[in-house]
Amino acid sequence: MSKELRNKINEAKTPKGILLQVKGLKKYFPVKRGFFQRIVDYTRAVDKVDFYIREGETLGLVGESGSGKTTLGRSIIRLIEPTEGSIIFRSKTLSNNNKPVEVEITKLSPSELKIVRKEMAYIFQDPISSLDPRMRVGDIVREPLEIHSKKKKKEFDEIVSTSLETVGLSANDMRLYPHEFSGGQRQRIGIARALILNPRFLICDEPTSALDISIQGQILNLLQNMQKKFNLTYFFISHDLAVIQHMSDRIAVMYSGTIVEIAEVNELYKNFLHPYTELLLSAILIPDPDYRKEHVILREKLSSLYNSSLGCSFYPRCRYKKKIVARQFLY
Amino acid sequence: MKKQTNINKNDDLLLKVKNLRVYFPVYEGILGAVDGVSFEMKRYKNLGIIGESGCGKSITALSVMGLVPQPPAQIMGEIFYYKDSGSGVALHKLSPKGPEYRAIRGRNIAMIFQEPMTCLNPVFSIGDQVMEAIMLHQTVDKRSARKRTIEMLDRVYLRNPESIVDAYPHQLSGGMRQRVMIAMALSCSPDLLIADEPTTALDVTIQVQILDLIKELQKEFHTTVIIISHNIGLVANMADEVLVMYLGKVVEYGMVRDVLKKSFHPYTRGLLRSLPQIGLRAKQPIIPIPGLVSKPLNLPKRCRFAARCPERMNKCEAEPPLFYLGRKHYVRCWLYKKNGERSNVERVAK
Repeated sequence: MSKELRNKINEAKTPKGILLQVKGLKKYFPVKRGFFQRIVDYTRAVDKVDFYIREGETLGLVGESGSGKTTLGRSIIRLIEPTEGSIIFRSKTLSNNNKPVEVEITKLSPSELKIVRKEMAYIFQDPISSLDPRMRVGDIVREPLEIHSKKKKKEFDEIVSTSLETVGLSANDMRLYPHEFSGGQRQRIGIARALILNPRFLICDEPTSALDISIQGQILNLLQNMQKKFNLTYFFISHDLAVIQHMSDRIAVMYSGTIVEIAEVNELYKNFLHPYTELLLSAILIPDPDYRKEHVILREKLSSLYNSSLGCSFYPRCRYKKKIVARQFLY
Repeated sequence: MKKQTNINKNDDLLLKVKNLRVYFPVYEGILGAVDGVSFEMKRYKNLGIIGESGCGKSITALSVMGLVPQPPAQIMGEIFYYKDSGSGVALHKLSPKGPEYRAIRGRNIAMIFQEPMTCLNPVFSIGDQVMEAIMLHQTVDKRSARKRTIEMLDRVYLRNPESIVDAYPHQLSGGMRQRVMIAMALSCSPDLLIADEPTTALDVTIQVQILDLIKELQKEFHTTVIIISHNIGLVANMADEVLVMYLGKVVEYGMVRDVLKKSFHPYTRGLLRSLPQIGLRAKQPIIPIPGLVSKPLNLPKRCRFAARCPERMNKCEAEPPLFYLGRKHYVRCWLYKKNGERSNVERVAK
């Protein structure tokens, strides 16, 4: 461990049991115009987001497309460089004497980040484009080991094959290419790759939304079993309210870059407070013909112009809107 | 020679599909996308078609529209469409590109496609595209067609329809484009509207809006809807009768309550159990269907679900017929005899 990195590690100050704490996280994408690519505005993909994740729990993140869910997920492990804010991660690999230590992820250099990333993994939404079509499955799953592991190369094969078997594939699949698998199996390969370094924290970005119904259940069950088996912490991103309820202990609702409500699962589904959560929950379609209901609050006229620069971003769609809200920021 | 054959008058009947088979010869053999699908639709009784990708839902719908290209496809079977007056048209006898079919397509039977992004032509304005449908089927001049277009855009709850008429598809969001598609499909008040996964590409809130919109306009335009989706919630909300398909075959068919609440086929039950649900069975473990959906390629003459079925028996080596269980409920499984009783066939160990 380099000296610099050692200086960046602090003794844990966050309350016990909190694995990840995000404070004031922002990601602004510049909007460029004209010949000189002048920056005229910013798209606030993630705007002042605060939350924490306890060790061993699943925090669900739900929201519509374009609300910034994926940007937030990727910013946490700095696949996208956040503009501002702090991400404090309670690390185990960096600790020398079993004392809990925490590290500020946003301040690490690339080589230091690499060490911390061993404890984190990411499962991508699209199982087709997230696997290199020219690599054999064995090589795809092995790659993290080659980068991070200090074990001997001879042992790699065995680790890879046990990893494939835990996710329900066979060791013989190592020689095949991704295109020889179905969507569900490819997602299993993605999970095997994510789990190979025994991470403690997993970000699952819509892991089932590209899959068929009968396969979705298989993957959700697999993720839950893996969580129990390896004591994993999940940050689970989805737009499907049923899936997110099934998987999560707590749920954060995101709208247009900000988290508008965050609560325990049962609390959120019974005593939701934010009008947007109400809107989302009223949009649930229950597969039972006796539960047909009129979704009255959704009768809104769509226009492509949302004035997002001032005031509450949900204002144009809110059923309780008051004039004052349009002119004031909400903190 | 008269191609339109008049069939017995029947006031109620809207569409009758009899033993529809659509095969695609491919390099590896014959791909039976749809293999012997039959159903009947009464006026104002919506039909839902449920199934996973590759089960032949869309091909069934496209065959009714006469939009499956022949060749490569080989289409067999009968499709009858009954007009308001009760006279029937044998769609399978018409040439898909002929004038009779074209008069029906878009006018009497309209379709909303799955991808609002790719189904609108990017180089024509919204107005041009909706007006085309109106002017093709109704004898109106351009000005009144435009007026009607604006009316329709307003009916589908688009703000500022006067400016959207002249907008191009890329200027609209996915939900707005899907509304334009609905406006276009309903502009001629069709008898039958086929909605093929109308909300799959959209957000949950927009999905419900589109669903409510279709339901509302259906009453206003006296349209009957075929809703095709893998989202069981959507079908449960919309349909009166449900068709469950698996690998080109109908496995269960009946009234929506019977099929979804008293399902008989192991596949239907598996589908309902394999997804988490809100409210009713929240946080209960999900029991997914094991295995994978295979391709409908050179399928053997046996039950197509047998390989994944938890209740597999010896008898499943033979293809089960569609048993009638009473109350318009059909199921294709050896577990059941005619009246919904379980047949006494010994089971293979699970």
